[in-house]
Amino acid sequence: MNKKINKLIFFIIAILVAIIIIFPLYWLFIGSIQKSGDIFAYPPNFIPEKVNIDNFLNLFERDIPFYTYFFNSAYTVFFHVLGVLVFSSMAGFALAKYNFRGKKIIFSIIIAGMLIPFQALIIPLFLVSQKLGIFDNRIALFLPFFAQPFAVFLMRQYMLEIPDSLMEAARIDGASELRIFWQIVTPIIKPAFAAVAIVDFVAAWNAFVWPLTILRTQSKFTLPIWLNALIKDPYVVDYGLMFAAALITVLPILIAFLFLQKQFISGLAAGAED
Amino acid sequence: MNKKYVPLMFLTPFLIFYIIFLLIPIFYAFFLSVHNWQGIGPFNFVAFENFINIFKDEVATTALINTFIMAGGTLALSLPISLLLALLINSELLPFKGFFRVVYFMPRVIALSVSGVIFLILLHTDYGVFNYILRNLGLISENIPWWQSSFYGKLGIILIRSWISIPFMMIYFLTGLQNIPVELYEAANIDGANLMQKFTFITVPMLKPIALFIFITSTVFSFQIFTIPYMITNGGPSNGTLTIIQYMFSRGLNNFEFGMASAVSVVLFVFLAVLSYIQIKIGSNN
Repeated sequence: MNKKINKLIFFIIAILVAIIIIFPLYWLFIGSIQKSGDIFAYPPNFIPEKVNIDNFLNLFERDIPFYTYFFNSAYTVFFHVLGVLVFSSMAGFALAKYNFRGKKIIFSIIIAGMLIPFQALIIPLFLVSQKLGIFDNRIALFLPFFAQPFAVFLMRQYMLEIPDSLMEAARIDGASELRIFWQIVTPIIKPAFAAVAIVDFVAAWNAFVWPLTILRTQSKFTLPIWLNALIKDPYVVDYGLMFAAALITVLPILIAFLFLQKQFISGLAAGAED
Repeated sequence: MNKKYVPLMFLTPFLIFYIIFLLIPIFYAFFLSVHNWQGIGPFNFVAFENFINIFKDEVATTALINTFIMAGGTLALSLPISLLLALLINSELLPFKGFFRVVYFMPRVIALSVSGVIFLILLHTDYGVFNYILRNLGLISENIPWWQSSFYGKLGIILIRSWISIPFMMIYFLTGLQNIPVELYEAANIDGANLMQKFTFITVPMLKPIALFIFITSTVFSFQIFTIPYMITNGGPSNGTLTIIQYMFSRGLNNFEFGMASAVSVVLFVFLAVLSYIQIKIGSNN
């Protein structure tokens, strides 16, 4: 009996905490389907009286419609993730499966890169990007992030587990090293690809400081810095519109999270943003 | 192809990006930090003048203090709460654990910019739901001017940052709790220990390494705070929520004082790299 009551108390506490944690997202959702004035109704409407999709329609009718920013974000994330997967798996392979001079030193230098907080790189990276002529260019949103020490570390870790005999057998059959990598190694380390892709996807989609630093032309903005521009714009006081924009920004990640809960939780526990 | 070049072929593409976008920038930051440079013209060597100027500049020290307060406040609030949530989810008394784990983790995937938009409205002085609830609970009699006061501004940012930080802290505490051998609790049961004793003498000491890890990771994370205050208050009112990153940002990118801005980068880099190094050392010992 006692145990049953305790169970119920624990359950109620857990539900209350869940409500507190979810509330800001719930507020975002109902705010996006209300008229701007209704968001500031007093007393507040905790349950919207009617659904209004004007905010979303308005997003299409702005000078720069929302899908421009959505496309910029998607484009950035695609190359961001692709580059990180390709270059980190190749580097991880070299470090895990070959012996060569200077291997230890190179590995240490790469690992040392994990100690660098990104914010400390903003100023010099801005100057380097200017020198390379990629300032205010969408390429700058992903190119500097192809080298992710963390991803190399993870890839190497997975590849150490692959038995050398597997590669030897392929070599005897006359397979080239590139073919061994592509046809034998990459299928085995799919979980590592998934882990790196998820962490990088979220980081790139949500990125704020770097796009803010490098972009000036509004039509090149990604979703997060478009939100910032909306908040700062003295002529936009339409909070319904802002909520709709924020909802569109968060939706792809939220959907991916709900489908891949386990992978997200294990992968993202460590990551950090600004 | 010569066998010797095979690993190099795999490694080189990564190394090129690593050198251009990581090694060169970090060395460049050190180089610039001891020079005066406005973006054009020659580099004037000024030794440690930039560093001295940071600590002489009132705005910089305000930003530094703000960052310490906001980082410290976030840690003080979210560490105990996340431990409690981890204990709750780990408890055998709780049904639907998987569901709660997912729900509690959700804020972690939300973009900071989105949180900025939501909380700007939630903590609105006159129309914000937060003030409405506090008033109806009788906790306050007048609306709190969240974004018009440097005290409440910092508090508001601490609340938002905690909402963001708690999920990942909780997951680590949960891992720590699940790694405590069940035999320890069984032995304690045989000895007739009560719940409180088990918590103090088994759970707390066994969680120490992971707690230290969480503490350091969160500190590194918290010191880089930028997006939320930048979006909501833009560092105001009267620099009350100005962070060290925003200070660096405006010195470098608005004023083109790249020497000063780089000096801030270097200070930040050294401080956080030492912390991260300690963390990796702890991690490899456990």
